[in-house]
Amino acid sequence: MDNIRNFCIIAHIDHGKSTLADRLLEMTRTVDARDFQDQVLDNMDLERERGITIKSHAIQMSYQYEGKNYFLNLIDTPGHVDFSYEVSRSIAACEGALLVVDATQGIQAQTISNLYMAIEHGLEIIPVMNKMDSPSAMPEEVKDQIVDLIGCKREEIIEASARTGMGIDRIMSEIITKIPAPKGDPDAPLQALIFDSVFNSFRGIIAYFKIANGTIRTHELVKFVNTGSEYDADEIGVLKLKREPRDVLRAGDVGYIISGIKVSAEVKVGDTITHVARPCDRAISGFADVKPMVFAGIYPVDADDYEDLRASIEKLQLNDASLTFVPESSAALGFGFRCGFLGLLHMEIIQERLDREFDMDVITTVPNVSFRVLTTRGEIIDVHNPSGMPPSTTIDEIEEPYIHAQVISKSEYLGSILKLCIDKRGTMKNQVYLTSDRVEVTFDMPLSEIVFDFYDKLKSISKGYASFDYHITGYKKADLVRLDILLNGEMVDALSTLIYRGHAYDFGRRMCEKLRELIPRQQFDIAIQAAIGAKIIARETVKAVRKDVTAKCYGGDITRKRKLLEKQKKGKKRMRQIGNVEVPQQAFLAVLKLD
Amino acid sequence: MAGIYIHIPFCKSFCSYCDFYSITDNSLKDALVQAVIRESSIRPSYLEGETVETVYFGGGTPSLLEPATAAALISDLKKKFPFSDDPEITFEVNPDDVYEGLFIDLKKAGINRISLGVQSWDDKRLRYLGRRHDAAQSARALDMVFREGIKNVSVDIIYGVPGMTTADLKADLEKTFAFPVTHLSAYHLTVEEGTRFGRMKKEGKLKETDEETSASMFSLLGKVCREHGFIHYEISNFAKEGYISRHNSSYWKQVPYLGLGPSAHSFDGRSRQWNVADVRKYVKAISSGEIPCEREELDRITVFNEYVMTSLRTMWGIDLTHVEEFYDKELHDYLVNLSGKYIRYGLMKREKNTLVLTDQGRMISDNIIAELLADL
Ligand SMILES: Nc1nc2c(ncn2[C@@H]2O[C@H](COP(=O)(O)OP(=O)(O)OP(=O)(O)O)[C@@H](O)[C@H]2O)c(=O)[nH]1
Ligand code: SF4
Ligand SMILES: [Mg+2]
Repeated sequence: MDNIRNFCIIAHIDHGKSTLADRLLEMTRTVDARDFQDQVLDNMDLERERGITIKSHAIQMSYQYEGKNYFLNLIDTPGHVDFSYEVSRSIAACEGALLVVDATQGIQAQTISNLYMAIEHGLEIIPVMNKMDSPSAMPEEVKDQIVDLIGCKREEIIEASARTGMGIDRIMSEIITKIPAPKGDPDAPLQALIFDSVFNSFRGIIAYFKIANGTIRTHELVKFVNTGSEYDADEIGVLKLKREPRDVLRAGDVGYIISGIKVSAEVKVGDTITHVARPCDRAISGFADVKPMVFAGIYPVDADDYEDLRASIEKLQLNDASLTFVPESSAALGFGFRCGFLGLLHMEIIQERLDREFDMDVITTVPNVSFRVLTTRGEIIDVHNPSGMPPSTTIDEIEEPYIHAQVISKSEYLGSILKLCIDKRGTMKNQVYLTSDRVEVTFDMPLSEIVFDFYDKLKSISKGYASFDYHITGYKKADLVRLDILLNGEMVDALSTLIYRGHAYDFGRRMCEKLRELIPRQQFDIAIQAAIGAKIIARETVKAVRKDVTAKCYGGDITRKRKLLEKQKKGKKRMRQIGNVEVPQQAFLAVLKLD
Repeated sequence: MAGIYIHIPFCKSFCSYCDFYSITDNSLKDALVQAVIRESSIRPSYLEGETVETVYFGGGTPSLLEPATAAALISDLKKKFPFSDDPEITFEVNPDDVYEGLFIDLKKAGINRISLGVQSWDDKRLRYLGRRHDAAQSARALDMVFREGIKNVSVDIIYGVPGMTTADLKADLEKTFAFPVTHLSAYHLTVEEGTRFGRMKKEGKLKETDEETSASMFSLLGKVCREHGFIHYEISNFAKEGYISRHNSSYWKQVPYLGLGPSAHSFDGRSRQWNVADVRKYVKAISSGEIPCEREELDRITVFNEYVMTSLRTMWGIDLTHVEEFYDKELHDYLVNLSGKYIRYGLMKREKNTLVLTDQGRMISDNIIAELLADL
């Protein structure tokens, strides 16, 4: 066991984790040259297209060091704040972490939050200053920041470049010399923590685990402690670029198990695997359930696909434990699911994955945060949907979630950042200069204010320099109104929002304008109205199509014309009929695209 | 019942809007005529013995043919296919090809309907359209055709040309109706890719007529034609009582037709096919006994969709009894259900057992038809 090292790579978004992983895989010849591509671990299409990591990815490398062979289990993690749950689970499978800091950017918000998570779990931290090859690297300044943050010695920081390969040798040797080998007793009863799972359409559910104690062999009878179900270990193995079966895995190993499970509810990330014959006394403490804070309805474009949608979301949930869903129905959209997400990027990714991996065409409704209603009868109700609000006469008070928001930026943008946060109902809590021109400000802010366009705005006013992290602190009383949207007089529940009273007018007006752009002209005028209760606060009109007719339609034109009309029809099919109005998919997310 | 279309793919010059297949080199004219005759010999049974009711010489420019050639083509067809007693035989004529006696000869050849490409009565607009004739030549041609004894005469007009107003359209119509024409085809300009107008549009040098103006032109057109006693029997076609084009109507009523010549389309009720749009390739293939064409088999739903598409453009509309008998009850009910909404909006009328678009509905007929297409 002393030749095993389990470690993850953590950093702020884009600081070069996946590229650094490439170099380690190259150095250990884990990936064949012919399979090699940049950020090879980012194997989802979506990850490659967007250039970001969405899922943690575990892979085993082997390496000779001072005449001894080592097995190094690496987990590359995502940097975006929405996926911090992925990082927390990866950390639970490791004894050490490479903390990567971009030498051109310095410490950023997620550097800090991910570092704290790792320290909390007692991980050995190896600080790596990446992108040293870049002309805009500021090594001395960034070293100061790192020393300040983790209290290490200056010399302990590894100067590296995932682009040129600088420092990779030293990283390898420190992984081996500094990170402790996993502890645990291979002869004790089996105790393995499931830290991730995926659905494979041929093999069923594949669970990834790290063995804390004991030994597992193929075809042994195992039990999942929390669910209580028993399975035959059909196949176990280690994770290379592809899965590699093994006969035996022991304490300290990271591996996978396939046991013919087809139903997603049977595998819970955070569960413990043990033997049926000789069970462990207690489960390893798993993961705190993540609480999604952003909710939106997901509906099939074609109402007949409801059951398929359910199956698809279940499968996706296996690979993304932070996604939650419950059935709901909408007057406008029929049957669908209220899904909980960690943030907007998460929501967008889920919608895309449903489309790509499951071929599900869905409509996502206006997202909202989770509200808490205190009723006049003294109950507390969690409300995830504007239409789920109890009648106003029974509401004593509505509360909304608040966050502790942390922004790190060059100080020249401080003024605009403060203004933005105050516009978003924030109250400043603290302001610290990290260096002479870098400042960290913290705010108390309603979560709902960052759900929509906060992040983009922050990026644009700081020319991309500001970074942002947050965590939920609790609930506070809110002055909210329900803003409804009416199409030709008919309320569209899927477009309703609960919104801070002071923002409602402006928001309603911009909503109407955006919808006017997004709803195509139809055979009649369409009135778009925003209303609070019975009061109309904004109105726009989509004028009817006046002329849509082909002049000629003779012999040769008939085929051509028919094909054009078939195409026109296809476009219409992707829309949802609400009352007499056809509303395109993207209109339901109009709220996210307000200028 | 069946029709025959003959494509004469030659033009003296190209008009700015036209995307019909034609070439300006007419040295291949004789070879083409021989090939057309040969093509009809290769495909004698395409129409499965149906009686030919209509023949249409289109183009290109049929009036570049000698009347004697037209006569030869017609008598050849009459030998090969069973003809009805009073076939409608139409010949397209460009106003500047007209000379004294032309129509007498065409009439002798068996032609009894002339379609004259007037397009506009405004010389400036004619030049903009790239036409090679002027308004005076159109007037002369119309005088002559009636004088030389052909009664059934159709005029083509183009409207919705950039810069054109509703008053311009009104003037064009009044000038047309000053002659005893029996039929009018009035097309709104469509800017097609691959034409001069198409290129101008790409370069931003052509601004298409706005929807409002187009819509008012379309209403005006209907109104003026009605006042002159014309029946608006298809989106772009108007006729005096008794002069509805039998040939064009057959396209919309799914009557089989045989298309001869390069780029000509044929339909036999179950499939469509179209000859190569290239005179040389066409002549070469035909001379070796082959039909150079592509073919599309139509399944039942596609035939139905084409029926909906073409019939809704006409005043006869969709015949629900026909749908139920020829297709099935399901498609019948499908149409009845969907039509409710259009009827409520005033876009469609139900008359006995037919569904017909109102004037307002006709203006957005593509939009409505697209919705009505059944899924494959
Ligand atoms: N110049 C330079 N660029 C680098 C280096 N390492 C990574 N990059 C670039 O930085 C960008 C982000 O790299 P990734 O490896 O995808 O970053 P990441 O930390 O995995 O990003 P997330 O997983 O989305 O958080 C890419 O364009 C890389 O090419 C480096 O050492 N030098
Ligand atoms: S409109 Fe007629 S004359 Fe002009 S190019 Fe087209 S086919 Fe030839
Ligand atoms: Mg990455």
